[in-house]
Amino acid sequence: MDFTIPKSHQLFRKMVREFATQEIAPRTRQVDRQGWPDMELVHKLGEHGLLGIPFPQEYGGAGLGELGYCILMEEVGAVCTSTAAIIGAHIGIGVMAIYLGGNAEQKRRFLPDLCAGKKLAAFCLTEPNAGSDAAAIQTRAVRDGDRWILSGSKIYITNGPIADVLTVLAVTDPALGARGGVTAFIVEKGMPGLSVGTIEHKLGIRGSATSEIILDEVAVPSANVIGQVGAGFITFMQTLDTGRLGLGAACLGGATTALDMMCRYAAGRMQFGRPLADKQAIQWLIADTATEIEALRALVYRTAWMVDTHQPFTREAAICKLFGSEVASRAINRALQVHGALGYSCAFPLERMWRDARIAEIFEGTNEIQRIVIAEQAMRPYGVRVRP
Amino acid sequence: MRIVVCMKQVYDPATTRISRSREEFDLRGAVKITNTPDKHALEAALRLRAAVGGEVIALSLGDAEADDVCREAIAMGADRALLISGPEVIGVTGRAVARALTAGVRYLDAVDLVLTGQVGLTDGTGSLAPRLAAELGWEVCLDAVRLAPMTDGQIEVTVACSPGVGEIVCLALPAVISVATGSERPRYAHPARIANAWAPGLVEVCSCTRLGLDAAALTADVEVGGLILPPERTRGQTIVGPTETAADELVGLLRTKRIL
Ligand SMILES: Cc1cc2nc3c(=O)[nH]c(=O)nc-3n(C[C@H](O)[C@H](O)[C@H](O)COP(=O)(O)OP(=O)(O)OC[C@H]3O[C@@H](n4cnc5c(N)ncnc54)[C@H](O)[C@@H]3O)c2cc1C
Repeated sequence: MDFTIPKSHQLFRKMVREFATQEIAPRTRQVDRQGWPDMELVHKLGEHGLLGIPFPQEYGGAGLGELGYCILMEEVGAVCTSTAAIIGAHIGIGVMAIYLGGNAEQKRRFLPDLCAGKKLAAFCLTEPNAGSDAAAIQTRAVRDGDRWILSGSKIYITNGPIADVLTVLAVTDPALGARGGVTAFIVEKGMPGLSVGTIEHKLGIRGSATSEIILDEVAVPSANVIGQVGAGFITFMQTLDTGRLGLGAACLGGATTALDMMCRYAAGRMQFGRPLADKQAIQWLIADTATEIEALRALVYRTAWMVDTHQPFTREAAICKLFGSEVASRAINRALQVHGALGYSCAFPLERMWRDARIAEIFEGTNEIQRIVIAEQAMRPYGVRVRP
Repeated sequence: MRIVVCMKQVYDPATTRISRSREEFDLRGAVKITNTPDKHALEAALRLRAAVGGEVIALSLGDAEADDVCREAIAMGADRALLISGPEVIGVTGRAVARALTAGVRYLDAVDLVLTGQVGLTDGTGSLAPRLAAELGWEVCLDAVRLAPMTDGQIEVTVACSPGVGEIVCLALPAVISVATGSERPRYAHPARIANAWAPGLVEVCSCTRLGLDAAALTADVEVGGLILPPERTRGQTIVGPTETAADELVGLLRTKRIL
């Protein structure tokens, strides 16, 4: 057993940390205030190769694998959850759906521009009547010669308003449902009938853009079907597995920042003539947070290793997402408590971090859904089918 | 143009402490990094290569760990690297470093320009560039903020004199130039280059003997006589009282100490 991170990935972490400190951190407050991404920053991410980290170099990626992707998400998550969400929706699920499910020709056609950030991706699954119950989607795709006509609407789509390439799940055979009747498509900005609907105003990750996506008889060529007709549900679920791991890594970054802030403040803040850090009540908050972070770190990087060594990881990715989002929320909540009024004040980053952290318990499958996935995996050997 | 950039591994000053009792650097827990001023030199070299073409070679001296510096240089854009290593070069200083690097430059052959950082972090003196020039018998210029190639075997160097004031000098090649930290900010290494930087064949490791250098040439010419420690930190002063009067008092104190 060897836990050493390869030298190349250590150097990559240094590079991302420097980039995050110099380019992302100074904009974190502004993007939250303006409630919209800083497009200059998004372009910079692409320019510096950060939007194609896990993908092979033959498709324009960096070739740093899932380990590299987790390092990226941890370091970005440590300074800006909104930016981590933009990257997560792009790499973790948007492009990932094409990479995992697409054929070589599609990868050659789409990945280079997506990896270079010349184009941005979004992942379109959720609908008004299909949230946790993803199989209940109603967006229809009807074959018309060598093209498909897509109609329906998707909601809460991260990067929706700024995306150029959208991976969309639609029903191709209502009789078959999720088992063979659902297909994934690559929809491109500019296709007639595709439009951006209502833009969401959100509690947190306000520096990412979330919107409705309207498909009004959008004609999509058959060449844009991801994988086989009818295989879309499996592709999307596999994609969410890797997405969840990256989300867990971003939570690790956020939790680590919270711990750092907590320790720093406890060491300096004097009350009752002594630093806060002298109080056991505060020490225990710090100890619990440090313990949970250590467990999360081990979990995230071991799961990344499982992905890179081609082992099944559905259960582990669900655990990373569930545990990671709860660890981050707890860590930030504790840090806010340790800072007292300063934590609650908009003059300080903690209130934003607190709002931002909440999303990780909801998107890419709520934590209830993660528990169902984990229970299903745990109960299977006992002959019990866990159903949502 | 063949450009050699001298890059060394140093202890990150943010992770080194000074032991008062032992009057020396306390390196327990210190982390090794690439000397950041050397990255400025590399940036200048990469810009020059972009303008005139040619090759950028990182040259380092140290133990096996200095390989990291070579890889980082390659990740940032250097074409390849030469690492001078072996027991005879461990802990060498001053003239010996310049002699070993000179042997490296000669070995690399047909070098037009050698760039160095302005100074080594932690314990540097900034003497490498003039020492190298002396050993090589080349022209030298210190603290360049900008390098521009010229057609007639010369290079135009902008040197910062004082803030906002620069001087332009023309230097005949081959030359040794130290690059100021006020020059262009070093670029981020590209992730794909980082992934490839550990590929075989990019870093050549050479002993001094391979370079035809006699260990006797590596004797020290300077000796560290002692370490001057910064004054012991005194306890801070707390200003008490209502905000308005406390603020006035604080400003007054900062003024008398000439901080404001
Ligand atoms: C900011 C943001 C960004 C998003 N980005 C994207 C995106 O890029 N692409 C995309 O496709 N979607 C995206 N989503 C949608 C997100 O994935 C869904 O909101 C999520 O899957 C939950 O669906 P829902 O909101 O409809 O909740 P519902 O499914 O209606 O659930 C409501 C509550 O009931 C619980 N619940 C539901 N079913 C069960 C059950 N069987 N057992 C126990 N509890 C249950 C849920 O856990 C939840 O607490 C985003 C959402 C937000 C808020």
